[in-house]
Amino acid sequence: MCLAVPARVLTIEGQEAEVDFSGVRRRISIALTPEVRVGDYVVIHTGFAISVLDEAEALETLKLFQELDQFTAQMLQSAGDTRNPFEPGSDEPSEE
Amino acid sequence: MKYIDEFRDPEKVQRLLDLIHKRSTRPVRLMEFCGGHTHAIFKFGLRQLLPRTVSLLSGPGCPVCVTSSSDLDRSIAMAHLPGVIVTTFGDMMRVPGSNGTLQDAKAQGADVRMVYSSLDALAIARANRRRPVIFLAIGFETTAPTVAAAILQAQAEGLDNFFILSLHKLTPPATKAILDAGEVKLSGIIGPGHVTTVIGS
Repeated sequence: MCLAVPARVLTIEGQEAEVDFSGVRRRISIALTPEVRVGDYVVIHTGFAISVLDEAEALETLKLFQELDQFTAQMLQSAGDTRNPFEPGSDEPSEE
Repeated sequence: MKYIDEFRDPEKVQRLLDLIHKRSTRPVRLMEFCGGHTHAIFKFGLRQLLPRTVSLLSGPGCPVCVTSSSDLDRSIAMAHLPGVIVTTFGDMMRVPGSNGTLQDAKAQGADVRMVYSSLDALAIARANRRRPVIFLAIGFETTAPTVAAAILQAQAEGLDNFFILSLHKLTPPATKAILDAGEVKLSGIIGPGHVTTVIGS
């Protein structure tokens, strides 16, 4: 229902824009994102751009993924270490 | 940056899964808020990838499914009014009220039309100036602004035959209700992402 997908803005005409969803073109409304420019990526929901994607923010998220992966690789390497780094706290749900 | 491909890295996922399988000993229950999450979890087979200790529960995240029978009954009754055109997102068509669905009403002769956007409903109102066109405005915070934009547009064009039945829902009260009910013990919630693009995180 709240499904939304990123698409690239090809042209802008007033409150409408033509966007490209990896090959499929559609006309959408940019009434909710007046700041959008041609070439930007926007998130489309029910025919409206609801947000303009921010490259800096996306890169920040990818950097977090990278850090998580480095940590994961480290933990996998230290296989002999039996200490659980995710020792659950008292607020964890228990099975009973 | 294409905002999809960069976020899909099977090698990273595999390493993380290996670690989760290795380390996970205690039961962890996570609830995904959105129907969209549930869809993605099944599409990518996440349940099969995770160890048995990690369980995923589907949350309240479908505004269609949590629409009350009385609201559906009202929508169906409106569809039977003479001259009225009821417009709605496709997923509402098959949801049963006390006495049938919107699809049944359509089969009985009511003018019920499926749209993909509030702007499609507006176009129907533009093409049928003598008939009342009601849009069943259903959705969470993500959808509400698109309906507001359609109302502004209708006003700007003087489309006085365009009506909204507002059936919007808010996500924070739904989440709070689940947490307060105490029926489900949760370790965490996967929050509704597109809602936060509208209301902030």
